[in-house]
Amino acid sequence: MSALRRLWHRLRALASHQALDREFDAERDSHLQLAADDYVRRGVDPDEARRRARLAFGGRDAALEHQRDARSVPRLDNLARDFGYAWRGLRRERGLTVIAVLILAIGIGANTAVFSLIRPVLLKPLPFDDAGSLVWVANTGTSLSGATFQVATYEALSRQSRSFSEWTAYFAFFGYGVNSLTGLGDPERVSIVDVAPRFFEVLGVRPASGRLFLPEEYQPNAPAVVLVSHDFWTRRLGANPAVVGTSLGLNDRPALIAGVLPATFSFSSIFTPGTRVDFVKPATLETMKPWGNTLSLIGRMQPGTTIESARAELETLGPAIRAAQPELFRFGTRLTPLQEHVSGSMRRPLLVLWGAVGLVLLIVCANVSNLLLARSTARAKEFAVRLALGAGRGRIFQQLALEGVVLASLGGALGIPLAYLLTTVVKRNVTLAIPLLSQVHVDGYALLVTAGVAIGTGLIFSILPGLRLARTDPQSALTDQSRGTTAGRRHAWMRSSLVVAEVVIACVLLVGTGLLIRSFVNLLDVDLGFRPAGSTVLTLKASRDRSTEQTVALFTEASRRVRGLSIVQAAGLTDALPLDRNRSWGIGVPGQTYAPGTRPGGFTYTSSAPAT
Amino acid sequence: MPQEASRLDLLQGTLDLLVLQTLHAIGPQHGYGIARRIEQVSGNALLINQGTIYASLVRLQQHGWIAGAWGQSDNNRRAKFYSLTRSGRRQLQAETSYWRSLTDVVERVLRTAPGGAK
Repeated sequence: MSALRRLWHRLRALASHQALDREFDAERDSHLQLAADDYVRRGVDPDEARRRARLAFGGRDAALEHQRDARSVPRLDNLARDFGYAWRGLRRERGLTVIAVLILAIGIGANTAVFSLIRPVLLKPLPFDDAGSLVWVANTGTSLSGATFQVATYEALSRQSRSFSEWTAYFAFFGYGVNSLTGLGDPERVSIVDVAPRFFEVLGVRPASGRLFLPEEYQPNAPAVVLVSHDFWTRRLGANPAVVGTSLGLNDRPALIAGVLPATFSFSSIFTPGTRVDFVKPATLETMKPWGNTLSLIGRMQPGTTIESARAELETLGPAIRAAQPELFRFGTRLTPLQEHVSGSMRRPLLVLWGAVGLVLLIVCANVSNLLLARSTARAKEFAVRLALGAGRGRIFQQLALEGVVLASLGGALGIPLAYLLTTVVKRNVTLAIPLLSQVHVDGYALLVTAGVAIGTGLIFSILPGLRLARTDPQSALTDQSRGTTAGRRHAWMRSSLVVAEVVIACVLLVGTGLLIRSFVNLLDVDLGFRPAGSTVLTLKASRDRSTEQTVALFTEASRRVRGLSIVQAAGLTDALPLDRNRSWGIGVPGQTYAPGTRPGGFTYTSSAPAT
Repeated sequence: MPQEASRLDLLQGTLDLLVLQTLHAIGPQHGYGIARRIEQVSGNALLINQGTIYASLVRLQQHGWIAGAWGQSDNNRRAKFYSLTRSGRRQLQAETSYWRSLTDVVERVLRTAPGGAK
């Protein structure tokens, strides 16, 4: 209690410094008066009495300093004074301050931006309930149809696995569907993903408004219903809560808007980074049963189940399921935590990026350190005077470190808007395949890290100038250059080692960047078998109400007209772009019938447009 | 040679205790009066300068053990008078018994004869 009270008084004393000094002087005057009175009473003459009184009291400054130490927090007291001093110094040398702050802003801003970018992927759990128990199951292949499962496999796993409380899935090929939205101005192509029952319930995602899908809405021929992504809702529906319960024209049919997904859940940024998903609709698994591998599976493990035991269960369960249903495609199960699946492939590149901006910050430190070192030559005398007057080397070091922190804090303050700008630009770029991009914010946490980085940076780049100045020999510094040679040599050594460090780091960055560009150039050099340059793709969608003949006529006419444009050399039609997806299902020689499993695995087919 | 700081610390604690005891013995008193009293009682052994008393007074005030107020002295001089508070009285009791037991222990240790056996 009493210690707390004392601390409070001490802190207050900091604020009322001058008033307390005046109070001390008043007490001292009264003390001397009383003492002198005493001497006079004992027969000493008044002048001598005053002299003796002063003698008995001792030095005013010593007593005051004593009292100041007792009443206040000496370190903080010094700190406040040093802060004012540092601020004045930085304002005096405006040119140096501006340059240093700008350099620091770039280094710190880049670090804040990259930290904000990395945090949702690498440092935060996925925005789901108990995200740690969610797993991703991939089939043995690497292509999309090689990594997905058939509906029957999904259903068998849901029924039979014991390590999992629930399974859900989504239609992995949703990106190839072409959906048109009508009724909101011009018709627009939108992206819709089909999800299996209880998709959101398994993940633990609650709608921002409205409701999730009802069980009957997953049945064939159920009325169309969708959930709107938060992004689409704000971008195209004016963030109007009243749209819930109304209908939109999707693929020429009215679809009920059941609800709006929360801002924290963006399907594409988690499962298919680099794409856009506007709507989610129920998948009718009944219809999809005859299809091949189309489902991406997500499971929630039972509480207390480890990933190893879940893996072991699936290893025995998989062959059993296949044995019971021999008509199923062969499959294997590769189980990974969902978090790992989402961040997995980006983990290394992001860490490398983080390392790179860290190195940039080191270069910034070295640069600012060098600037301050150059200035320290000019300031040697100032500090020599302070040392000669009895300032401790620790105080001088503290002073310089504080100057460094003030400088870096200014840089950090300027770096924050820069980080904002950088993250906004990156977020705008929807084609960037960085997961959880929608979750990137320069938030309080990022600002905290920025503050930490700024203070750390400030301390680091003050070390060398601090060492140099604190080591100043006041005598030789004050008696001028003649003896400055040894100090000069050490100084030169410090500066050149800084430059060497800078060049080394820059080389690392340069070589890294060079290798990256080289890989990129190699990628560009791969012979694709066709020339993508100068070609462009136009996606067409015909209304479902048209017959096949009408659709063919429409597409033929469209391509004929495109070919007629003066800027077009040639045009063709395809439902599978080169290098896009395997497109073998449903294809056969016309007139031939195929038993299940006997369709040819692949076709090379060409479509030649009729000559015009 | 004892370290400067530790000697000061010891002195500080002792001085604070003496100030408390003085105020307890003679009632409210100004800084000069307290300093004179301690000089007289201790025979000038403790206070190097009378000015040092003010650091002690400010410390005790911050703890809330003494309270200070400006008033008039016997010979009509303005002076700041300090008096013991209730918690100061308690503190004085605690400090006194602590001091007694400390000196007692130190005394006993110092009295042990060389050779270990008593």
